[in-house]
Amino acid sequence: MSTEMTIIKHIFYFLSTGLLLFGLLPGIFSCETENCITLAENDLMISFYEQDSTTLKDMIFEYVTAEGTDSVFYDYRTKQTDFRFPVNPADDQTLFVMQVVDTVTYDTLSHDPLVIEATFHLRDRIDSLLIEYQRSQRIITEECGVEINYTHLVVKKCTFPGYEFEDDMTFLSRLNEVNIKIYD
Amino acid sequence: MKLILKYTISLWLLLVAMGEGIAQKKAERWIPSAVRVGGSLGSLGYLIFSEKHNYFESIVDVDFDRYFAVFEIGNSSYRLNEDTYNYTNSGRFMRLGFDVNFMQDEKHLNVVFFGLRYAWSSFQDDLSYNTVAVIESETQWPDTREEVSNLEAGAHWYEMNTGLKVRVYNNFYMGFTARYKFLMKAHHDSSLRSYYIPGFGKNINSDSWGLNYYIYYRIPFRKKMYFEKSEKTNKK
Repeated sequence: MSTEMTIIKHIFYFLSTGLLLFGLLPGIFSCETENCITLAENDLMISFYEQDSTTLKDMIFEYVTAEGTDSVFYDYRTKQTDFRFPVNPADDQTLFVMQVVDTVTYDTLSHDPLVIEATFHLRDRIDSLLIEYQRSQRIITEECGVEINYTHLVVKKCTFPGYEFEDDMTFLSRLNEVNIKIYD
Repeated sequence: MKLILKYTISLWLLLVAMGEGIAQKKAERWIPSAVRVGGSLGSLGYLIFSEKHNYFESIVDVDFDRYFAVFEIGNSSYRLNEDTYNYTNSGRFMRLGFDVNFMQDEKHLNVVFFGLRYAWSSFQDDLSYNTVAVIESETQWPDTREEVSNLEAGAHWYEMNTGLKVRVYNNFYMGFTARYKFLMKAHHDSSLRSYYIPGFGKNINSDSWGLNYYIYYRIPFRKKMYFEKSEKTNKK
């Protein structure tokens, strides 16, 4: 067999064996899933409780907003015990600012019997809650894109009478677990 | 009686001499016969066809009997340009290890090998992204462009390798190496978890596989033991 033929034969064997492996290996070893499942989110879960009590407290806010945004996260139309306060994804801290509605009175002697006018009595002070956290970024896959995880939550300022973190919930997740109990 | 003693001593001396010869030959097999230097062929394909990944690898091996000490060094760049984020990564990597040749004394000095490597890399990467486009649902915050960078990131991993090196012409060889990699540790100096590790691949799972094609040139210092045996046989 001529030298040229030997060279061609060797190159052919080499390439074909490599291509066979190249075709098989992805099937054998590929475990990379492309599903875009993430537990990351930027909502701080807060439950309100009666002061020095384990009783949940319904809260109405005239507004809940945060420094750095014009968005109003909640207003007087919401009355509930659990709230989602979205932290700033572009900063390592968020200052939430809110005004609590202490009481609501209803005018049942209105001229129009079908309309009951409500009067919201606002708390004298503006309340605030300053949260610090650590962000970590990663690309899940090229198709799924970027996720940000928020961990090491710390309350730096709270004007409410008391607060406490739920056990080990110093990170944000989609598990709907409460992060902070606030006593009011 | 004297004759028996004479023959016994002679036989004993002959056996000792033969034993020393065999031991010497065995020892000689451990003396390196050549250095083989190579470069990655697959990187040419990436250079031509891939917009997101480029790399180049060099490889050096030295034979010790049926074993090869192997050193590999390379550099790599990786970039993703998506609508909502851009990612760039560039760095270097090195691998050090050994191969066992299962085709010892093959006349063309072809190699079919299994080997182990310890590998490490150092790199920089950068991610810029739109905050509203992260995978979380509604952030309820205005969209901003954020950027985060690792200036001194690194990783360590182990590899199990297998492949072959085939002589194609004179001292030119071609070959491929299939690699199965186990990430030991990846470290970074910012809040960004690196998506890509030069030499390892995507940092999604703790294991990864790869296939590299190489072209080699073998620089011999001396004749391999196989040829010395053949020549003696031929002389007889």
